[in-house]
Amino acid sequence: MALILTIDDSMYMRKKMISILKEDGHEILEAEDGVRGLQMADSHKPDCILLDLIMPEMDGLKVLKSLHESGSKVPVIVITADIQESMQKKCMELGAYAFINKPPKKDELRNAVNNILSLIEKPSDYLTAAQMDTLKELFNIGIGRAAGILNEMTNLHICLQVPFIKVLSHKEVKKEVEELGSFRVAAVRLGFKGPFSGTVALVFPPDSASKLVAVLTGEEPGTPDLDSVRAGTLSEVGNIVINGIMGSIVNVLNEQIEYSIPTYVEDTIDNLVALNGAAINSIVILARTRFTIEQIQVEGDIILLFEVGTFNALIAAIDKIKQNIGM
Amino acid sequence: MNELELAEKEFGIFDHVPLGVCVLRYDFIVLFWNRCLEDWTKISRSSIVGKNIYNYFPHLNQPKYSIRLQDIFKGGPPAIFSSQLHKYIIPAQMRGGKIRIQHTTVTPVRALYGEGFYAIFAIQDVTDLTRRIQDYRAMRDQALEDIKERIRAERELQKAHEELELRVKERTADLFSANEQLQREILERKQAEEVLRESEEKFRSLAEQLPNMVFINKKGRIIYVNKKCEEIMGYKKEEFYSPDFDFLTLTAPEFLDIVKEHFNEHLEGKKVPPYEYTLITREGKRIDVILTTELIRYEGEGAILGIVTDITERKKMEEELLRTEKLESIGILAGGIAHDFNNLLTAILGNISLAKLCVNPKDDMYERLVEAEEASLRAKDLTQQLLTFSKGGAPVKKVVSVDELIRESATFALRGSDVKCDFSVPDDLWSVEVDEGQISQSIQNLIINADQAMPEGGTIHVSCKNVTIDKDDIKLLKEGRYVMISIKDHGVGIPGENIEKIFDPYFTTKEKGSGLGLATTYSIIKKNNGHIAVESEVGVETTFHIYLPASRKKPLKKGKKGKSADVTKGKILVMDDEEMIRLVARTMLKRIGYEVEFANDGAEALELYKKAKELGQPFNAVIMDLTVPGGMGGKEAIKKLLEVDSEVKAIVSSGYFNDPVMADFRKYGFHGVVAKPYTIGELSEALSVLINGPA
Repeated sequence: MALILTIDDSMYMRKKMISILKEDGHEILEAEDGVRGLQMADSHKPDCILLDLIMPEMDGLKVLKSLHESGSKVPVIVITADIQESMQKKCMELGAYAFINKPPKKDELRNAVNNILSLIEKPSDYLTAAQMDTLKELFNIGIGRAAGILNEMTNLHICLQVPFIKVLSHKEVKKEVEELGSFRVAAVRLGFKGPFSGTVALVFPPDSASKLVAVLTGEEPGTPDLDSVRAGTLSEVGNIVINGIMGSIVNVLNEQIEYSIPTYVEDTIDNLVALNGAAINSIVILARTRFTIEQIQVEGDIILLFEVGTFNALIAAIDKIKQNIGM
Repeated sequence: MNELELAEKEFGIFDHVPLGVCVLRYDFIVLFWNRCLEDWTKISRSSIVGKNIYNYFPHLNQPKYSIRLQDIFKGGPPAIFSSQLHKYIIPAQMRGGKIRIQHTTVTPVRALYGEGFYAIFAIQDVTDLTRRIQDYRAMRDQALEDIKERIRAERELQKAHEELELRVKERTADLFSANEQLQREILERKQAEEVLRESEEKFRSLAEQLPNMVFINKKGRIIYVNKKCEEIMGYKKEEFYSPDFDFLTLTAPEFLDIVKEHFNEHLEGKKVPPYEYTLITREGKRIDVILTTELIRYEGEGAILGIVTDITERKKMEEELLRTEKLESIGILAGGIAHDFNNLLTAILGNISLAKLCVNPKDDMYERLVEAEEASLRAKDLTQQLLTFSKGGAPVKKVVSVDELIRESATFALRGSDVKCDFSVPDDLWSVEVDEGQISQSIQNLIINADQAMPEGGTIHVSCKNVTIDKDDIKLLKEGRYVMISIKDHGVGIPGENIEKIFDPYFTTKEKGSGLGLATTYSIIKKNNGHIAVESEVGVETTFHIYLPASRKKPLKKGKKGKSADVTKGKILVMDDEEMIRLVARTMLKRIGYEVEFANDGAEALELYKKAKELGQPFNAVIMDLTVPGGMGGKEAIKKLLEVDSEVKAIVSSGYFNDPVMADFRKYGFHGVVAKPYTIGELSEALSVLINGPA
């Protein structure tokens, strides 16, 4: 059961949607226009928003745009009589999760809502095995590229592997991270914006970080403290790995993405995950990455947190890859 | 404007940042080269712009750079080239020849011409930073080393310190507890010693004040005696305490066994009840004591506390009492028969006296009568001695000069003996108030004994002195003034075991002794409120001391005794219930020259006296028996007679020598006394004194 906000100027439509969704035990809030809708979205933090497009005062596109710009990760389902494809694309670019024709069919609405809720609640359930495989593959390609660059740079045989990836809800990540314990980590973060937006962070547990730096620079492994020189080294390593993965994904998306300047941070891992408080409904791809340097027998773990606000765009891109390669 | 000009205009702003900035096109042609880079590399913008960077910096053609840079030209994410992994991206020598260390971030920016992206290199000079960090690292490593070393050293020190502390603690604790234990023990011992000392002090101060002898005997050694022990036993404390001192020497030989036995019982821890025995002082004096013993702890060890009570005086008193009782029982017996005996003797003696008058003294018969008379007189003496024992026998006291008394008595007793007697009598000797006859007899007895003790002859020393007896000096004497008569012989002496028995009646060591001499002496002296004591050393000497109560009065001048019966006219009334006595008395009185009338009892005597008085022929004297069975006796009769005639002259006559009336006749109204049996001379003298007054 979830809290759903319906923004529609038609009382009839609102009542209809309430009657449909009540069957699944959801609680429904009503807003008769866009302005009121944004207020309630802000004050009640609904799990999902059902949005009409054609409304007086403030239409649905403006609401969507405002939510997108504010960085809101609340999944929005657009329900409209405007069935033009251009409008649908526009809405999807503004972060809408789904597009349903008005008047909605009962099952279509229920499925769309429940899909979105399950994605938020437990994204792994939302993905098919094939989608997960594709995703993992993309990561492996990216990691592989990064390893190649590192090998080139250091003349060491560095092997990077991704033993598993997990697609997690924000809640699940928190739980996962809590299980790891609250320890201080170094991380390299990169923000990205485009058809799908989010942050990618490469997290180095302290032990791994110092090992890695020592191996790459030929220093004596010893002191774990990360001065700015070492921080610079870690930044480059993180940059290489993140760029590898991003390159791999962006390649298949064939979409233009804007990037922020990579930043180096040190913080506790739980704080790092909660960095963006607004990202409550975001999806996290957690990729455990293992590096092994055979010559000197060093092993370590790094964690890749891939936080995506517009997860459905990524899924759509993945599906496109499958079609392209004929899977 | 061509691309280069556009680039100069677009990126000219980077001339004003403190970073090395250059912009490359996808084909690695330099589009912009800022002033900072000109300064670092000494390559001017004009010379490098429009040229391939490989011409100047061929290393950038390496895949590790080119691959990553190619992504940038495609609009990929920024790339970082860190100082540690690359040292530099655009080599630039500093003054001194060192190459600038650089941290470079390469970001894509949309190309100003056509598709694609330029790559903007932002190069940060981190030489100083790196140097500082290296210095810092070295410093830190050194510091860490130092700290490690210090920590190790401190740990060692700490460990050593802890070990030491632990050891010290343990040692201290041991020491402390030992010390505490010791302190406690010391305190306890001190307290115990204090308590002991106090109690011992208390004991000593108490013991020193006791009238008893107190001693402590530890394992057979005397370790404490009080003052009394010194005073009584005659040894000094140091002597008592000497290891050579044998406490058994204090014990009379006959008690040695029992004392040893008791001592052994003590050693076995047994309690011994108080027992009586005799101690011997340093001077050899015997002291009767009761010893009470107690097992005590003294100066931390078991010991015997003894309290000795001197019971010599008490024992003497007990013996005296016993003796007095013995004597009194004899007295009762004697008194019972003495009356009859005396009456009989009066008749015998009277008749002998009369018979002598009828016989020519040259006749043999006369000699026989004299012998009979003497025997009768000895019988009379014996009777009188027996009577002295009887209870209530009171002496007839008068003030007497001791000097005269002892000289007469001694001379009389020593007639016909080789033993001589010398006298030592001070001029100021007090007179005594006693029964002269009795005391004389006592002295005679003592002199006779002394005489007999010296069969080889010798001298008896008789000395007198005034003594004042204080309370407790001699328990058997009341305090007051006394005359002490000491009679000393150098005879055989009296052995210790006999000395207590010599005053007992019937105790004698003589073959023909009656055993009454000293007993009588003792009895007499007691009855005269005196005291007799004896000291004797066997084979050396014996001394009897007689204490007689002194008197402040002057003794009466003794009248001369009439040698024979003077014939004096007068009328005498004799009252006696005994026919036999009346018969003798009539014969004697008639012989003396008196007229005699007789009465059987007091009533008759009264009648006769009154009648004679009425008739104008009163009696010159009355002789009255004290006791008349079934009738008025002399004691009552004199009262009645005095009522009739206050001038009546009466003589009391009785065989009860010891009757109070006999001793104190004047008090009862009599003018004289004559004890039965009497001789005619005695009767004559008594009457003569009565009727004519003392000569």
